[in-house]
Amino acid sequence: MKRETITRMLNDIDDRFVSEAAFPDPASAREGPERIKHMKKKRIITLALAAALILALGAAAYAAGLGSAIAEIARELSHSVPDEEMRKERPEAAAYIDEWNSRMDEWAEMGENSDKTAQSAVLPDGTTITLTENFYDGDRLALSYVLSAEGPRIDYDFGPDHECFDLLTESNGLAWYQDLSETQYLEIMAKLKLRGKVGFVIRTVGVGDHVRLADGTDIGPFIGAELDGNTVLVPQNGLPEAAKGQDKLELSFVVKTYEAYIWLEGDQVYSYYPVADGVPVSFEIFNNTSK
Amino acid sequence: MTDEEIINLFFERSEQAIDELARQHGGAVTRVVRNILGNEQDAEECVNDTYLGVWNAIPPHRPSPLRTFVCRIARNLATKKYHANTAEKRNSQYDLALDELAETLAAAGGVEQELEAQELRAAINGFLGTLSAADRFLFLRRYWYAESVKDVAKAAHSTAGSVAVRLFRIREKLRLYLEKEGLPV
Repeated sequence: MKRETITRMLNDIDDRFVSEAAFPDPASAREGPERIKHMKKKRIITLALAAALILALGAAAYAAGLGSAIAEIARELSHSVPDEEMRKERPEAAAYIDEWNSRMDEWAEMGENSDKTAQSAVLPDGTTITLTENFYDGDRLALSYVLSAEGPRIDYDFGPDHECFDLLTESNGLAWYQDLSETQYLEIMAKLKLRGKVGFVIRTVGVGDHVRLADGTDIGPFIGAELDGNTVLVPQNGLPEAAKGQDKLELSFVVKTYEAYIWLEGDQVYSYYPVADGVPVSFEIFNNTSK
Repeated sequence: MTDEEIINLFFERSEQAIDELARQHGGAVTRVVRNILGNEQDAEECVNDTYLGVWNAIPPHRPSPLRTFVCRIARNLATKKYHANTAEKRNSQYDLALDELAETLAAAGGVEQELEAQELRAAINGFLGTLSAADRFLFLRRYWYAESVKDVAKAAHSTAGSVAVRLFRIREKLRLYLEKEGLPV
């Protein structure tokens, strides 16, 4: 194969794979492919807007309401303690795992001492966000929430007459289908095959990447983890000064509807992503040590 | 400054957008470009061209993640320049990475021919989907980001020897996958 052909092949790699490899991979800190095979549930992806990490755990057995999601996730994310051989041959990896485990021990401790009084907010479209658990001791914070919303919705009301049509840009290689179910994807492909072109809007409800105090202070970026619908957030670099030593904090989340306008024509992909609308939702949490 | 805020600056056509982009993602862009071109002067030009490319693309585009978008523009510009350069001028990590792939993909003795872009796109993405996340990470770091085996090993918390062996196995898998898909390698 010609070198130019190889370059072209590499240039066509999907964004999702490129993004996945954009940051160092903690999952590889363990030994060889056999061990990693058991860790596939702990895939790391990046949340670019908040420079945060989300660790997605698919099939673990945590059930909401039966304990602490924060502690449960901490246990799931902990690595095996490096043995002597690993400490000798790969001291950097061993040190990394020790540091990570120590952070997870801290998460578990926060989870065990968290306030598990649930607070919910229901939006006009039926979307519900529930803060299921929180820990705040004036210096450290850990949150767990559950978002109940309709999955990605596809509306086929997008075409050349739509006001956003002129805003489309060529986006070949874009993984526009990554959040869709197989049924949704196949339905789109069937329409494309039938007509040679198809336009649609993918609407997805999600929580914005920022959590702010009442005065607007952003308390991220976070290390986040997701387990069976529970999302746990812990500030990556500690709390900002404005959030320290308070008796209570008013935390503001933003629930957004993300839209993706997609036009497929033959092999070409065109897309437009407008700024997502957001509905702010506030929760009040109290300093666990001042009760 | 967050990516969202940087993108807003581009939408406002504020030149501060370039400064903030360089501050947040300039390191990653420069690494990709340097790895591919291996020449400081070419790399600097290419980084500047990348920022211009981003300026022209946003708006209307509102990319997410921004880093992937910027690195992709940088990589496309750098590989274009790389192939335009004379053989003597090519002395980069990307050169070595291409050698590795070219050697494996030529080994099957297939008839050399230009492949359809669409077939290749489907094939490489299909292949990557069959790999474990860890192997995909190694492949992308070595062949897309054009990092040295040593740097890939560092990012994966492994040793250069172990990474080299795993990359060899991944290249073999790629060759078999392309053959199975009926693509001449």
